[in-house]
Amino acid sequence: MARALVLVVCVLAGCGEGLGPPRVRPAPTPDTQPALRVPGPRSPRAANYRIDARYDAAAHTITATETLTWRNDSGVAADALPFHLYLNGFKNETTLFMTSSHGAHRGNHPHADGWGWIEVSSIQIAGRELRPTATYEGPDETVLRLPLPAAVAPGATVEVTLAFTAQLPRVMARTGYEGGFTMVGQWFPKVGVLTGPRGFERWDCPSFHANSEFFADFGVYDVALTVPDTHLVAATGVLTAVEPHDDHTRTLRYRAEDVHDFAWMIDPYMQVMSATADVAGAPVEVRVVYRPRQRSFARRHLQAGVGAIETFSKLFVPYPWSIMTVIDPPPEAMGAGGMEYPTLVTSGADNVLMRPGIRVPEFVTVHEIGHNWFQGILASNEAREAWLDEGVNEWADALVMASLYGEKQSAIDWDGWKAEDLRLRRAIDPDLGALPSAIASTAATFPDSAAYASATYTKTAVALRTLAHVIDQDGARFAAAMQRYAETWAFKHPTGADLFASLEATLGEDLDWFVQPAFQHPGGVDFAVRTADCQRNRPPRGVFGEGAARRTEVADHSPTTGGYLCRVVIENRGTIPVPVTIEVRYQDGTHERLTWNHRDSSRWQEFEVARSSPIAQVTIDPDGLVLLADHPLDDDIRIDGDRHAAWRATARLTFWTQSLMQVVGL
Amino acid sequence: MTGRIRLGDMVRAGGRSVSQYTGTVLAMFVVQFVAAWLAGVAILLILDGAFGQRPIFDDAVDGDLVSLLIVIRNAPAVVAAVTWVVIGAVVAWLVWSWFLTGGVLAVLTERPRGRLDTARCFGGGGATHFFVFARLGVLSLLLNLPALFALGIGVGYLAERIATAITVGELIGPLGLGLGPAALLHVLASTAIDYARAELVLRRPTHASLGALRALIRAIGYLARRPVAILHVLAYWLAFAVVWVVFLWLAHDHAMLGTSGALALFAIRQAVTLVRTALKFALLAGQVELTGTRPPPPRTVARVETRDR
Repeated sequence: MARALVLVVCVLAGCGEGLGPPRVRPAPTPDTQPALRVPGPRSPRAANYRIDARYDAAAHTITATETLTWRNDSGVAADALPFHLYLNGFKNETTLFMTSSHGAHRGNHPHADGWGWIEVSSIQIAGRELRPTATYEGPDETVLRLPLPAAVAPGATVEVTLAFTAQLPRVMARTGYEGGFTMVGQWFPKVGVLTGPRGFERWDCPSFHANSEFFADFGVYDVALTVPDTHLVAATGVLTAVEPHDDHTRTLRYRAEDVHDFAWMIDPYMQVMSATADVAGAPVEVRVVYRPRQRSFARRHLQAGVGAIETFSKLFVPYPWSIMTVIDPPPEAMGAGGMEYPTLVTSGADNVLMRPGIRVPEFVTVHEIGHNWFQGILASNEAREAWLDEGVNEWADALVMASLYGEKQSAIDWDGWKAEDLRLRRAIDPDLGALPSAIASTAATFPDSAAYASATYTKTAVALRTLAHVIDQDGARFAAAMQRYAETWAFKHPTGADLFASLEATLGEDLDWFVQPAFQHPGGVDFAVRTADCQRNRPPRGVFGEGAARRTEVADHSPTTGGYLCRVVIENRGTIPVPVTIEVRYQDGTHERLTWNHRDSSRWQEFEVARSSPIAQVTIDPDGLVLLADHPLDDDIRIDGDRHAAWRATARLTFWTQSLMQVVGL
Repeated sequence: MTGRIRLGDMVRAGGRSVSQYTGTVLAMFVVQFVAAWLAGVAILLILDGAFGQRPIFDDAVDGDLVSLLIVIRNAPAVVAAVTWVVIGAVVAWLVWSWFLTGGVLAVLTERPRGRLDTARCFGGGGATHFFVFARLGVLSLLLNLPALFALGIGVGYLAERIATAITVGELIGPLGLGLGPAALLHVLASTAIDYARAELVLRRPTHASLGALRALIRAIGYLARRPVAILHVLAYWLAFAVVWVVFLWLAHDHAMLGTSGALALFAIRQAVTLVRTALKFALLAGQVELTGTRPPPPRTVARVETRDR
């Protein structure tokens, strides 16, 4: 009896879902595709890496040697090389990452038994050991500065060989291991970027902050991974060779071209499903790597992935690589989900609550794949201008989701509920105008991660959507200008100024009136109907004329004309001017549209209209084009109250109240 | 009447009582309807005052998700006010139920004939037992503490499992394990309260000094001996849930717009409420039937009377 009870409890609790011991897998077949669909190079290829790494699945450690071939493309000589050692951000609770994240990233906390670190044991240039001369820079050990024995002149190249050991953390902030699954990101010493105006370049290699993501030079990665033969590996680039060993390991060699990062995943239980995306008539293989119990979600990710590759390619520039791999982490390792690397992304949101039609999993896939354009191809500095990849990508994601699933139901189409992606996000994130920081703020300077996320993701996306509709009603001209920007700046490091300069050049318009207040300063748009009233239109009363001609007009003598003189005052309590349409509905059923061409610092606009009927309703932005606007409750006012909706809501709420009453009482 | 009563007997007793006291059931429903709609009027005034001039509220009520979120996120004071009205109504009903339950149990125990006698019996029973039921209500808070404790643990466990569940099948077990113990403990506690109430009413003519605590302790002991009482309550909750599911199924995908649609939906909702009221009445009747077979408490009152003589 007791055993049966234990069995029942065990079945209910789901303790029988063990995957068993890992089994030896057949050796993978090298990919036949080249790294780039069309041979390159596409980028300057300034930072090229050759890495030989060995993974210990039991200890979750990587021992590796790395050879960096770095070319100085700047106008100044480089007398030192700074390296990011991101994994040291997870070394203890005193690192900048841990203090700036308050010990949690996307709800994931560090585990007491799972700290991560990286230790560089050797640095050699031309056979000379330089490790003793290298020093940590900044508040922790996430940046290692190597003084060079001889400065690297502009145009010259240096080859540096490093030996390092990396201890992966338990899953935290995109990287680490959990339950057999291991995501290996930001795992190797990575050189900073020498950036700035020509002749005045400086190293950009900040310490690892919780809000900041990544920035690196393009290059070619040639990476050999020696791993257990029981595990599946998915990595950036294409698999070029497989070499089995006698000790139940095999070496997998990957090559990626014109990328600025290399990440990989290893797992003993994962499977792969794939499909082909059509990019300008050429195939791109989209793979989803998943655990068997997540098969239904993997299908959704695959469909979204294929659609994303095809649609982003049409909207901006064609996807240049041959393969896109989407990793679907197991739910217990979701801290590794939702991250982008070149040609490889991690998705997520696989959950029982995400029923088909609730398109959060699809959105995550679209968003992460979108980063292959906004950061992968247009490699902006994520630490300095995070909005350029996250926010611009969010704006683009909305277009892609609408293209894939329909505009009105791009985010939700479930059980009668429908919602569009950006409108839903806007409804959840209500007070963008009250954010304490401007969109164009360095990631590390936001007061908290919530302010960072709202400004960087949502506010940027809705600001761009708003601007697009100001440019033209359907946003097509703006989209074309964004495509031009992508074409111009592909495989470069564009800044925010580059983006707006490109848009202005293509559109032939000065955008400063909007860009300055919307992106460079805190503040928002907050429309409201201040006044909406009508008076009977009648001839004027009073004393008119002089002498014998003097006459007094009184109300009785001045019958109404039958019309009304209506006055509508619209105000913008925010700081960002945006031209807006106002729809005025009259009691006789007619309506008209007025325009406030609001591009200056004025705070209000008055409209006077003579009509045969008084105003019934005033709606600011009736088409919902100014998505940036806060407090939308004030944007649509009915002059005379209407109780119908309140009655319907009351009937429903009262029924629920009655039901509750029946549960707790008689 | 000391025969062994089975679940079927209790259910049949419920059915008989509902058909015999249809007027009482309807009166209970009307009282509840009025109480709920008093809260409804307050809600209407709040919503009309806040949103009568806001067309976006119309869209929200008509099922536009984005509009609904905008209304909720931008009018937190209105949401709070409506919530407090609902909470107030539910708590007021809980207190009022002490009177009504006393009345219903008195009717089911004394079986009066005719409307006037039934009303007199109902009012007398409600008034007589109000305070002792109030004391039982306070005791029920203590009795439900284990259920609250189990709920806290269960919700934590369930939240963890929901976070990693992929399929509905993976959720069923954790739902049972997470919420089942708390639900069971609550059912046990509320059933003990029900039987304590029934005994207090049933034994009042002979055991006037029977107190709330003693009746509750006796009820707990009785439940341990007669699991049919638990089965009976579970059957009630099952019927309650079935009515609920049928309603949801009927209402699903039926927008019922316009005046006639709104009236139809209103009628369906009230029919559901009426059916549940009848179910509750039947539950109490079954409990009275079973309580009638319980051995009475020791006759302490009778001993005192003997001594007086």
